[in-house]
Amino acid sequence: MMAPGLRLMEGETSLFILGIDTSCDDTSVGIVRDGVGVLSSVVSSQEDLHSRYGGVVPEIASRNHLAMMIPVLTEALRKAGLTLGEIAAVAVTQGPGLMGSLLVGVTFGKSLAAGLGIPIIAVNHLEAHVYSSFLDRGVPEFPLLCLVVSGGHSDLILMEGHGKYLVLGITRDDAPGEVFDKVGRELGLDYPGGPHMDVVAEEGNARAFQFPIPKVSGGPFDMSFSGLKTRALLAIRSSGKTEETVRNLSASFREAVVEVLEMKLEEALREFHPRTVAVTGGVSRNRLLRERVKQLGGKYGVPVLLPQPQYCTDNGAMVASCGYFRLQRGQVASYDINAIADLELKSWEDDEP
Amino acid sequence: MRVAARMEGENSITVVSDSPEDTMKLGFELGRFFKGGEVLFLQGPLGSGKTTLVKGLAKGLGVLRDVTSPSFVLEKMYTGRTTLRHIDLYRLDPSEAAEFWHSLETGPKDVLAVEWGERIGDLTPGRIRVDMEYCEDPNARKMTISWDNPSQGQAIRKAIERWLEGTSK
Repeated sequence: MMAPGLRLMEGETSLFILGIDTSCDDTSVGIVRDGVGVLSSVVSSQEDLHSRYGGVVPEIASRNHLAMMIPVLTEALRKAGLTLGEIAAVAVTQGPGLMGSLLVGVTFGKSLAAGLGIPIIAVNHLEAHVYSSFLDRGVPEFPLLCLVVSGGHSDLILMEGHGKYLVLGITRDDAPGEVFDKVGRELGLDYPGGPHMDVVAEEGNARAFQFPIPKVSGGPFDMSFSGLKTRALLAIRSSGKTEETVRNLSASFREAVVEVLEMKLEEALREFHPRTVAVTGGVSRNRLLRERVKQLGGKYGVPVLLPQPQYCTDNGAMVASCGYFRLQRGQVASYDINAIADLELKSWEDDEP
Repeated sequence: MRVAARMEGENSITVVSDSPEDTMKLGFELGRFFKGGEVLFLQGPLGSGKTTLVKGLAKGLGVLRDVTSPSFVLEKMYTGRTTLRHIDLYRLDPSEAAEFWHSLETGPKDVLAVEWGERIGDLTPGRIRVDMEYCEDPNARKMTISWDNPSQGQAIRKAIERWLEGTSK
């Protein structure tokens, strides 16, 4: 399937980039044409793969990633209808993430690229999440204000162009996906609690419980969610877990978390006047957040990009997308790159001064 | 208040922290007195201050970066005077937690701070354990630190003395 707006001129050839992500639980491989057209995106936790290969969820130990690497790659090539010989470059998540898991992807990726004699491209997992909003959609107008919000992140990033990032703010403690899961579990919802709480919250009264907006020391766009979590836990202790309380607490807690995100987005919109707003990462599936971000976009007349649900969570296609734009700007790594567990998001160095 | 709430056993000490800031300061003092190689198991319900204590611990170990929750990624590493490995087994079931734990390769000077270590069963010798509980005051937390290595115990006692001096003013 080709992205709308993606046109190829007669005689122009497409570049197929293969992207690998093993930063956390899933082994994933995606193949993307010219940076935005997804040909395949295979994730090891997908049910069809699991029934065939019987892998373990999550791939907490690196040997599980190792076991899934070839089956996931094979499936991604099969779905894309390509052979390895047609791949132009391999892009791989170098960090941040879990060291043992990252190592599998990086080692496999660079070996594959070296064996094929094609470039290896090192991608930061966070920038890959930014690029996930381009998949099957196209490159938006810059500057792009992007909130990457997931179980492990809450990063507000201003992207002025390909590879030009300004990290405006981060969470100082817990990530929103994490507090949704934890409070959800304490409420007796199934794990992961985030998606379940999102459903239950639809039926609740968001004003039943008051959660003050947390004060944060640090930068003006930094966020904090740990205090909200503790307040929610104290509320559960004092109010019990009747069905009504679960509904109302879910609604009130979701409201409070989304309010923090919305507030930071709005402040950044006013200060930086982006041409596009994107919200990516697992929590960008949250209904209330999607709704509020769309409202914000409307209020400020800025188009809002929300990735398709399958690209919100970790996947190899977003790594391939970023890899394509890195390749175009000469951002090629050497075959001796290593995984970096605490890799920071930095702008690409100019290839030419 | 803190001094009154303090109870000392041969291999343990119980104190009460009045606030998250106080808990962070206790972590800081512990970090300052740690020599490297300590393995800290932090146990207590959600919101009892485990990550807050580790935030302070990291500062005490000379880590400049901010500590954020490792629940999702399972482990975060920080470099200070020594390597701090902040591990969180919260979202793993016992068999996954055991598999993850046994797949870890750690250096002899690494300081390990492990949340939800009870997922992998009983403490084995040589670990420091911190049990954290809620108190009636929603900001306060009761913490019992226990150990079985006497020289580590000595460092912990010194750290707590420092903490009490600093917070009782």
